[in-house]
Amino acid sequence: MKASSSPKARAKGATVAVPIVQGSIAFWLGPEADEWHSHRWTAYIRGSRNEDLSYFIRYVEFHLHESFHPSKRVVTRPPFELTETGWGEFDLIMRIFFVDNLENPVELIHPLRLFPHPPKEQSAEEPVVSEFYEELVFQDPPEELLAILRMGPQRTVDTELQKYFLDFTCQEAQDLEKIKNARDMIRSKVLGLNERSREIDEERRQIEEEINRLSKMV
Amino acid sequence: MTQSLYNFSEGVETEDSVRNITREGRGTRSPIYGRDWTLLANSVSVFPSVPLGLYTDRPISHWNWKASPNTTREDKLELFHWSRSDKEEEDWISNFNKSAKILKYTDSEYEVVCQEANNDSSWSREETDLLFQLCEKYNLRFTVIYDRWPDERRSLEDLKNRYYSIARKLAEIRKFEPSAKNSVLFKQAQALIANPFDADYERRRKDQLEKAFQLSKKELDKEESTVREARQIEADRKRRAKERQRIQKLLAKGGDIRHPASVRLVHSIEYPSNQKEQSSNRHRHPQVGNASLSDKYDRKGNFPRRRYHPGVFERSSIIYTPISHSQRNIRRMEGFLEELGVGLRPMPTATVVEEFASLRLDILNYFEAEKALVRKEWDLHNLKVKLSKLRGEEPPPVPAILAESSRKQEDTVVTTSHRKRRKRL
Repeated sequence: MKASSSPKARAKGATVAVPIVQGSIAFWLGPEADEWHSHRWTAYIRGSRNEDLSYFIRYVEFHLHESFHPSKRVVTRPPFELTETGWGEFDLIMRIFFVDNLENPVELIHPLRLFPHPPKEQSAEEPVVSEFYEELVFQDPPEELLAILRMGPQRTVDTELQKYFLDFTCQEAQDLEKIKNARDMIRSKVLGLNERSREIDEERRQIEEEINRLSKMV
Repeated sequence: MTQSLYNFSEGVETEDSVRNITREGRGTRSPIYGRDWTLLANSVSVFPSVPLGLYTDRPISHWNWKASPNTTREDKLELFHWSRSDKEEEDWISNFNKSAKILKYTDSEYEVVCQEANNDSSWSREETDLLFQLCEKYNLRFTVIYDRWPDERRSLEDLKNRYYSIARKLAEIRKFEPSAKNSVLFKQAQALIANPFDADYERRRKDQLEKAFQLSKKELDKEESTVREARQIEADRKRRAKERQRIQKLLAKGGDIRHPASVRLVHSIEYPSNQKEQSSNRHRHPQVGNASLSDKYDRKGNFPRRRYHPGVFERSSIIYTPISHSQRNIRRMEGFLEELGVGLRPMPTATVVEEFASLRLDILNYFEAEKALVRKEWDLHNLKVKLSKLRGEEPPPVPAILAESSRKQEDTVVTTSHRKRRKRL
């Protein structure tokens, strides 16, 4: 309401990136479970270090598969997680609304995973964890929001699923390493192509000379 | 009708007879009877429960077979029908007896009309008089008038044209006012002025109908199949447009649909026009130097970069933005990324996203270089064939690498020509 009464100014030129993690954890409920409720899963948005994100997130809308009633769930308090039981995998939509009304919500699509990949024997103790690191990039955020974002999280939030969360601290370096290797490999491949290209040029020159010689003789 | 009423009062044994009776009964007399009989028949109650006062002692009305009054006819023709005795007979036949209002010209008007309305001078005054007489007699039923017409040369359209052009002119020069007295005339005059008779159109219309009627079975089938094909094409076009929209939405995925700028971003990525390149290179020797093998794509134009605009977005959306237009390239790229161990979605931090984009550009350039090399190989092979001919030797076999790529190239040729064809449609 405040936003509509006094137009807030955007902080020109400012860019803030906030790391978050979108994920889902699914427990198999064992062989005796109801076939329609074979798994209990939790989808969530969390801070990359389990920090409390409610300092800039007002609420999160979870849009489930149509077979769930209601298919839209709103979570207004941290931790922003939603637990359900079901039997199938689908693409979950998580829409994040920010404390500042001026900022449009962001929509994340999360593929819910219930079964281990690659396929193996399910066990009730070992959950299927599917997490994606994500960064929310705020360009020219409203002044107030910028101040909030700069201040950062005030506390962490504890949940019982915490022990299954993945650690992304080394991932960036690993991914960069992989990309670097891949680029090197591509570069060497291109070099190989260039090598062959030069060979062809040489061979071609010789053949053209030969053809010229032969056609003159005829 | 009366018969069914009597049946009705005789009582009911079976359900079938109830249905029959009620069906007829409904149309004939008060519908209450029919409704309640159905109710009775379908319910299980043995004792009929009927609201008091439904059946009264009122006598059934009588129906008489008698002639109906007919005031409009002059020949005193009497038409008989069944009518209720307690109702006053009204002259309902005359409602159907409408006659057309035919405008008639005076001598002086005829002069004007003749000069202006119809430039067809072949009509004499006598003929026109006859036409108007017949029009009045047969109430503008032109088919009948045409049948009675003495002159073989006049066609139905000629007659119509003559009558309507004169009537139209008369309506114009007389200037009817919308008063109560001649409101019908006024309406008629307005209609005449608003819808001039187009004899030529009428002739063509009839010609076309005639032709359609004369079509043989084979021709008819052909025409039908053409129409079907046209519909199919139209449906395909719509489906493609829908698909395109869907893809555009997908490209702008990730909540960015709300930001027009980012949608523009996806489309503003400039993609290299491979087709143009190919067609210009096809007929002459590809002058591909070492340098140009791999620097076709630079980071200027064709690079998924987000245009700067206020708002919030998720960094991974840049990773998902395709870097090439060609579906084949995209698929190959995905395979490559998996093969190289990078995967389709590295951790979307600023540096990784930047590096990942560079990697994808490198791969795209590699594809391009590969293509250029294949062209060179073909060129070389063709020269070798030429040389062996000059020497009178057996032509060398196609190298394995080319045999494989030629299949692929054929593939692309097919798809591009297919695409062109679809564009034409």
